[in-house]
Amino acid sequence: MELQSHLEEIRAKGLGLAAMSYDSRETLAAFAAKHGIAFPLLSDTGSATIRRWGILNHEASDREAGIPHPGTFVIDTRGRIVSRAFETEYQVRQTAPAVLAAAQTGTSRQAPKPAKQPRTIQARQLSVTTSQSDVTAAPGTRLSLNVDVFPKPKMHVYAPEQTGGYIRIELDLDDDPAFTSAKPVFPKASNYYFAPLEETFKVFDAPFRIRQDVTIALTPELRRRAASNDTLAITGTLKYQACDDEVCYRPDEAKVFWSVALKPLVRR
Amino acid sequence: MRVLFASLAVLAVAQVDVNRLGPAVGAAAPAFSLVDQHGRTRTLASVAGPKGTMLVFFRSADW
Repeated sequence: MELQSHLEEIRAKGLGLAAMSYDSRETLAAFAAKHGIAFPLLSDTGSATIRRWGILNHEASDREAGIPHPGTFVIDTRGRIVSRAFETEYQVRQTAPAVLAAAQTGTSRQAPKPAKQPRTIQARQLSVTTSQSDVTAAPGTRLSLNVDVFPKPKMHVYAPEQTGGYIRIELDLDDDPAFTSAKPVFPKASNYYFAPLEETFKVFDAPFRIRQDVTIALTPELRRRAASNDTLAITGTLKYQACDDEVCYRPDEAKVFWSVALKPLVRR
Repeated sequence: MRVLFASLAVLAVAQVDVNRLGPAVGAAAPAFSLVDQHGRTRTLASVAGPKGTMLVFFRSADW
């Protein structure tokens, strides 16, 4: 089970991990023993809890009747939902690190923490470090690609929230049928007051992270590539215009790159 | 047959708006009391860590 391999990481964040299904206690016990599961597997026989949570899969029938829509919730200590992630296709699974990353967006003013496989690119007016939630991923799974942007001193870039004809920072992944991209997630921008124009701009003037989730395609081609341990290269372009207190520099771009080692999908 | 079920499920699930499933961000998590694989009764509080809980709903351990 993929979750077990992330147990330490999840606990290191101070979170308790539990997983629920409609299986009997005996089925869960056998599964836990076989896969070395060291966190609680909760038996919702009859699916009453799954129903109460509003995530029963009403289309499932026969043997599958009672299964939930597979998904993950992060809940705070007061019992409030902090983040949630559902699979959009039958077999698509969010990898645990991607869900953890999603639970943490909003803490944007902290200096970004490097994730796995960091690569740093020096660009004009800023430096860029790419990283990713998972080094390996199976077809049908979702992972997060990160772009940590470090503006050089006194430098800022226009945030997506800035309206008007400004060149806002933008991340574009190069199209590849091997994966689908979600919308990139940016942190909340800062207000920058530019005295000479008496105008306030939405900018990033401190290190920040752009999170770009991708889902590896679940196609025969990708299954074949995964079976032969192929590597998926994901490339993209970060477009931006940087300014300091006096001038705005020429619009620029930086090429960004990630590699994901493909592994076969193991059904849990 | 199982393959057929799985394929039908793909078509059916594709029409569900997953963004509207279950409690929204900020809502209260519904309480539960269920046995774990060891037969212990567990609640949200008993599986929580110092900062909260990651609760995963999965389809089945059986197939």
